[in-house]
Amino acid sequence: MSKLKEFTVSAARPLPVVVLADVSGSMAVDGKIQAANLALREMIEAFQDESDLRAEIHLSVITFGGVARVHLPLGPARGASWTDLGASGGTPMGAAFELARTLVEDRTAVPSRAYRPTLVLVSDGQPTGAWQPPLQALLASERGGKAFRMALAIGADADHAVLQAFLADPEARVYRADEARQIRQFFQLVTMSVAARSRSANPNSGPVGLPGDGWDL
Amino acid sequence: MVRVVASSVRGPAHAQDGLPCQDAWKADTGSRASFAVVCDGMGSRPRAQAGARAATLAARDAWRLWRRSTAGAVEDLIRLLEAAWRIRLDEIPPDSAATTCLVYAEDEHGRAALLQLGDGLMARRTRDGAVIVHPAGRALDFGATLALGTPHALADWSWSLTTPLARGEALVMATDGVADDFDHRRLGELAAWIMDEFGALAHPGRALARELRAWPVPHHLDDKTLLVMWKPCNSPSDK
Repeated sequence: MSKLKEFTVSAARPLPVVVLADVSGSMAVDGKIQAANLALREMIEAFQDESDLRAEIHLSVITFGGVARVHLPLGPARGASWTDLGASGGTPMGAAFELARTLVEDRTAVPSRAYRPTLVLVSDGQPTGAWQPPLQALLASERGGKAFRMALAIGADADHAVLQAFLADPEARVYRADEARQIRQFFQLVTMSVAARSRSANPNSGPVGLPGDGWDL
Repeated sequence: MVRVVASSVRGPAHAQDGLPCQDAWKADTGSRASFAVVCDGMGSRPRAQAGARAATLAARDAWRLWRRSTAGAVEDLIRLLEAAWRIRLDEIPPDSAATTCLVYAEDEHGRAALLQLGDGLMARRTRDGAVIVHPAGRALDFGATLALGTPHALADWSWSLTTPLARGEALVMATDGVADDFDHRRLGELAAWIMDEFGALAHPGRALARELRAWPVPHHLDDKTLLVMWKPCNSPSDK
């Protein structure tokens, strides 16, 4: 065994994934929150089952329903334990953006040796309260602006403009789920995207091979 | 006489892609002044290997002129290096050969300059075991870095002027493939290990390369360069 082990950290470089999940009252209808819980649980299990990874996937879940809060603190997905989400209240998406920015900019939580984070926004409604300034702060932040971003609009009432603004890329697409089962499919896509990056020679490069216009949820 | 142990090895990512090691280093340990440079060619650029090698030669070119002056400004050493790098590149477009650059340069008049553009590590271990890490300057994170061949200004270099290595002191220089995985609280012990275990070997660079190839951090990817320069003590009691 090399003596170098005494002078180096023992953990692989983290690849952070931060999910911003809408848990407002409207998520309680049509089985949406149940589907989101199932999808998130499956995503965690998939990350835990991955063995051929170049990075250590770290996961956090920030929820916004009535208030924004950290439901799952950022940490290795292999050690994550999932507790189901409930749904109630308004949609304080702006406060969730602020929590995400604070988390990604925290060099203790996301060290400089980490690979580029992925931010995932899932919402079925219109934000309540101011969301533009916190989103602009997130996108303008040194590290938040570099994060890969994915977004899912659930149902016809979701605010596509907000989700597109979150992506901040006219060519990036907001995925759409008209049925609860499609929430699960979206998170399977997120899982594949993150796992593919983690297996790639350069996990800082962008995800490849994601469905384009042929995406069929 | 100043001693140096250094090595660069190709990382798993470049091995997988059939690419060469894009790190480079060079050192000169003359009786009047010593010099060391470590460069990390940016993997996304097609001529990164040439850029890193040219930067080591350019840094030496600049140092050979700068060291003669009793009052040459560190900024002038940087300007010389930047110009020499472009001349060394000849017809290679600089942006295709982008590279970080870390330099330790002693002059012949009791001064030593530390220069850094981009990520990586430079740290000095004093005789009493304390470690002083050279501030790396503006951090870009997530694989992005300032470099020769990318847009930057003189102010983007992090530099300082200090005294040359004294007896019992050591300098550790490393590219980010090594530096990001180090436990920075143990840099002094790392330097002591290199000096004690490798300094006595006939081929210390080869032995260090073997260690770097067996890098113990899970799933490591990058090319790796580690350089330790030190001025030995007169006697064991000086350690």
